[in-house]
Amino acid sequence: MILIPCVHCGPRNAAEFRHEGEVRARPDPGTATLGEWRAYLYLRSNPAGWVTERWFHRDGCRTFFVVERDTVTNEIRSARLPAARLRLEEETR
Amino acid sequence: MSRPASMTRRLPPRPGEVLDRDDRFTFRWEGREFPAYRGDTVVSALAACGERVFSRSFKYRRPRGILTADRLDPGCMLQVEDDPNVPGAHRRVEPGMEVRAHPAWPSLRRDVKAGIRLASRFLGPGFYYKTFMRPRALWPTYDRILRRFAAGGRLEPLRDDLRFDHRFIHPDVVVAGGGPAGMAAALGAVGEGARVLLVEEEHELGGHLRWAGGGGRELLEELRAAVARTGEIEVMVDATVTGRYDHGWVAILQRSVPGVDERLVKARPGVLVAAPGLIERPYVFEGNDLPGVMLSTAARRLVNLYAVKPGDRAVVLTANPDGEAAAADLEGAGVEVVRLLDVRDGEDLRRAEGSGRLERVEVADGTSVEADLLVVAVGWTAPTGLLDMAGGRSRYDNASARFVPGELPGDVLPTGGLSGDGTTDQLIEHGRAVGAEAARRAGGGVPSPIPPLRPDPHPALFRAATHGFVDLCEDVTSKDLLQAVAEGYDSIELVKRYTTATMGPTQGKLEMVNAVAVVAEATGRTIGETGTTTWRPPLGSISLGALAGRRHEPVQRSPIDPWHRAHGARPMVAGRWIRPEHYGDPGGEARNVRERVGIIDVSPLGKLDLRGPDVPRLLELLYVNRWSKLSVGRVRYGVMCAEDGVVLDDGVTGRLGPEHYLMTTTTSGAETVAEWVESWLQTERPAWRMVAVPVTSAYASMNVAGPRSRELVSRLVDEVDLDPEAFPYLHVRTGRVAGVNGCVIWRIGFTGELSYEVHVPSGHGLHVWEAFLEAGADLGIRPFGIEAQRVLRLEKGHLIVGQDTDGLTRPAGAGLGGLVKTDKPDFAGKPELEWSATRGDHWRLVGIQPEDPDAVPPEASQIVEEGSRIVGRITSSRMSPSLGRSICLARLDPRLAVPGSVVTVRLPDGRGIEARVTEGPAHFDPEGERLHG
Amino acid sequence: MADPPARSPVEPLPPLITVEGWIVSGRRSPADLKVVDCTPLGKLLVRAHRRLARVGVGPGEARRVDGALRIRSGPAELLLLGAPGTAAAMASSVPTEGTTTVLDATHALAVLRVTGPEAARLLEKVCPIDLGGRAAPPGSAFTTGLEGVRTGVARDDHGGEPSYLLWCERASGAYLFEVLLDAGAEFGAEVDGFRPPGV
Repeated sequence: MILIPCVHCGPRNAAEFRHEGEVRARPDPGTATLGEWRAYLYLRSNPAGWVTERWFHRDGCRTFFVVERDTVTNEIRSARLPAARLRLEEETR
Repeated sequence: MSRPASMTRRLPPRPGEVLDRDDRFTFRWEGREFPAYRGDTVVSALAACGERVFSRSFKYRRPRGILTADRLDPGCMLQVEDDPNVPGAHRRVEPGMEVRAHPAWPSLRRDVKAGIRLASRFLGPGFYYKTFMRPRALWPTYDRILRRFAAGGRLEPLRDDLRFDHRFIHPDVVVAGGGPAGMAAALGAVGEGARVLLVEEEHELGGHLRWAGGGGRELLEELRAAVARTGEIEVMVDATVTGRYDHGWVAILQRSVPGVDERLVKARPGVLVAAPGLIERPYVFEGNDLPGVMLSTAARRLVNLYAVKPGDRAVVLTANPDGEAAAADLEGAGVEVVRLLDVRDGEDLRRAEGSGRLERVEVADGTSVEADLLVVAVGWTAPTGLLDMAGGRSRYDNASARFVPGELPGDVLPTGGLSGDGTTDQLIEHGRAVGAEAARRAGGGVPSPIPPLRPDPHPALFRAATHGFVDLCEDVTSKDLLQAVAEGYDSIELVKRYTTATMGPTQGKLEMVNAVAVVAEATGRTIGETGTTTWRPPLGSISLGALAGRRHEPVQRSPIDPWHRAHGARPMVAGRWIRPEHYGDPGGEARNVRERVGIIDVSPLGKLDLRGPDVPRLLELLYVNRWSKLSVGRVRYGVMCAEDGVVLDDGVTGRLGPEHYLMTTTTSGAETVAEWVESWLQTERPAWRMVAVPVTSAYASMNVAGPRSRELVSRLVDEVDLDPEAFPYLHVRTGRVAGVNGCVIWRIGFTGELSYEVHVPSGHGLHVWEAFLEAGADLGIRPFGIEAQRVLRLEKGHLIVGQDTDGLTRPAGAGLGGLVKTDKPDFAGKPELEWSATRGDHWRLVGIQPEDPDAVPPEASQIVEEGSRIVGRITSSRMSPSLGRSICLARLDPRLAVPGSVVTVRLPDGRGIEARVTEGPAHFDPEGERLHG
Repeated sequence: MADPPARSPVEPLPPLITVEGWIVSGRRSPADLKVVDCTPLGKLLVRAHRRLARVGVGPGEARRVDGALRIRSGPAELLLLGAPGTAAAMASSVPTEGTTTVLDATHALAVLRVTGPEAARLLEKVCPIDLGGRAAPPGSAFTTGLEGVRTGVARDDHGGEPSYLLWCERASGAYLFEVLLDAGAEFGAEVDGFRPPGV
């Protein structure tokens, strides 16, 4: 079982998490075209290599965070809070 | 009854034997009584009594005996009581144990030589695929006949006597293999302060020192004493490291644990030291599977560990000092070694012959020797599986004629025979150094490479001039491999899949290199070029029970559960919850709600406590309807959609205070919605000032429903004015119920009756429930279960998300289109709902009543047109106790979803019945007078 | 009216006694390894919109403050466990800042305690987290999945004996209790009744 480095709890077994899949930006629902919205809903790049994906520490601190993982080797090179939270912390600093 | 067997082939006590000769007992083999000593394996005890055949082979039904005399022995898989596929040369025999051969056709003893010869001409690779393909109609017949031939034990499908569990451990270093190098590695690691787990597959530590005789005994005792002395090394014997997975995860299957049949130990060590030793490689020649043909290590185990004389006249074929040592051990045990063939002197054998057992050995020089034992020592396989699973790349070393470890990741270190050869002292020295290095690396130290041991040169010997079995588990011969290559399967991975070589219980550990060698020979490539198939976990067999672990199903129970159980509730599993389906009379329970008053436990209802100034923004975002103007004390029904516009959940949310809301969800949606809320707050709207806390099980929830519910609730509630003017429908209050503070009271009505939903702090739930039943006795109160509730809500036409909607249903298709406020700037799923609204071709949710009032079409019955075209589906159906007729909810093509239209519902038996679409979804009290009363 | 009785999700073994309104087991086990239902404890959950600061308890810590155990159970979450009936009193003592929910969680959670020399051996059969001295020393806390149930664990040694407090959603309490007893059977674990203050 792979280890997922939770930004708060440190490395934990993947079974503690829910895998949300590739991070994808939510288009502005006011201006999005049908194509853009459907791409947001259904299209994933599914690379053999580095992917930026979201995990939810369901059985732990219940934090959503973002991980860069190599889908071939399962190497994980970074873990951080979601972009919107990082921006917020930046602004309120 | 046959007379008991006797230990005719048992030797006088041997110095290293594992037997306790003071503890003699009997067990049964194939229905006959056999003696054994404590410490015997099933097979050693039987061999000591002269038994030579333990199974019939997989395909050709050839008699098989001892080959390796350890866990891998392919011919020694037995049925021990209800356990099939037990490695009989490993399992220790117990008094009274009932052991049988796997069901065999023909019987274990009958000689069917002619039949075998006939069969082997046809049962080549791909035989089943080629033969039984056509005609297709005969497949069931083939199936029936072939099953008689299927190998393997007898599985008891319904057993509740087995216990399995798991354990999580976190040592710094796991040492896989408890031979001299493994023990030394454990000691070396402990010396550096590491937490160490030492795993040995056999029943004792020691590895080859146990049976190799000589001065090894004293060394063995020293090492064992040192391991025990530290008190810091956890030792698991009769345990197998079955795999090494990503991020260092190591699975260990532990047998012989008191209280459990098998335990799966899950370890995540800093470093894995692989010290599995070497596996002696069988030799391929005609007759190499005859009982009486065995490996040198098997002969030495039998003689030195179990004091069994494996034969009387032996031929020994050797290519290394271990073969010579085996010959010496045999002679010491009184076996006459009639011929010693040394490969290094150019000698070889040609074939083994005999009828059901070895009788003659034909030597390459053309001579023939009478013998009942043929011992072969032709080389070693380094079991690199664990290293390869860790990402290592093993390479073939021509000089030593074996695969050796190649490049490895830093957290896996080989030692002992896997690393190379050496004297026992060299192995121990290497083990110590590797163990210490492993401890340092586990502690975060910079790797400092330990030079590997050098493998000794060894003749490359895989197959004699004749053809024989390569894989004795799967009955694959060298000829089969050549044929597979000739048919075009020229890569080792393809050969494996086509012939099933290396796919049996030994999983390649015995037969892989021989298979590679034969394929190399056939393709003209070298062994290194041919390569091995991929080593994958598990390295040893694991029962499914061990993977599953303890038999626990996480269930959730309501605080009122003890009452339900004491009052005859029929339990029903709803997601993780155990709920009362009914108390014996769902129809009566439902009628009582309509006529008097009922009470139902709805504790599993999902609840979320929402606080903060920005809660209304969240509600606007997640629900499709409007929320900003909900005033304190009001409740609103809401529908949530996912981003694809499909209905996700529904429920009511009430405003308890200026910045305090309580959201309810469906029972099954509780966790989904809690995560959905967190997901939005954490990833999209982190600036919103609010906090959501799941409080589902903080409250016991009960719904008091029926025309007399107000009267009943008024008897127990303090501080809340229940007057319909003061507390109308879709309002919420907080107060005290039956002396319990902090209760939340809702006026909502899923059942369509006047009803109050009371949320009570859980610890007091049972008290309040009992108080309602007591206070309502004169009002005719009765508890009702899920079934009555489902009937009542169906009468009322209230949908259940997940029952009346599916993974494609949008609000408009569930009759909820009017709730969707697309003029809100944003909410989850908004664009999809806008687009889908313009199409209007979705199925609609409608009420339907069969024309025959007694016909209740089962849920999921299809609604068809023109015979078979599907135009709808019954989503809910029941006999209505209030109306005395059948009622349904259905999803229906919009053309037909008009009141009064008559459709055809196809029943499971193929009959069609007519049903009429009703005015609205509600079959009962469509105006809602009862609800609002 | 008499105070309404309160019950734990774990059915108490006889003899039954009442502690602060809670019906609990009065059983006293002589076993070395005990499993105790501590659900009557007062519990207070503090959840902030943003990170919690100035609460005196760092991430992964469980510290005794004013007789209650303050557990930093998440980046923005604090759980206080005190004697039965003290949730309201604890509420007055917690510092809040910004948008913070202070919730009486007495009825929301089941709390169990495993005490004895083999407590860690019991837990490692069901808990995937390293309980070895270095990884989870006294005063540490974490939340994990334990046999399918999200469970908080705090090392809270008692009278020199290793002891762990475990808490989960109340509805799963009976299940978790069964799991612990079953895992502890091989070490002779027995049920022991609740004794106040319990923490």
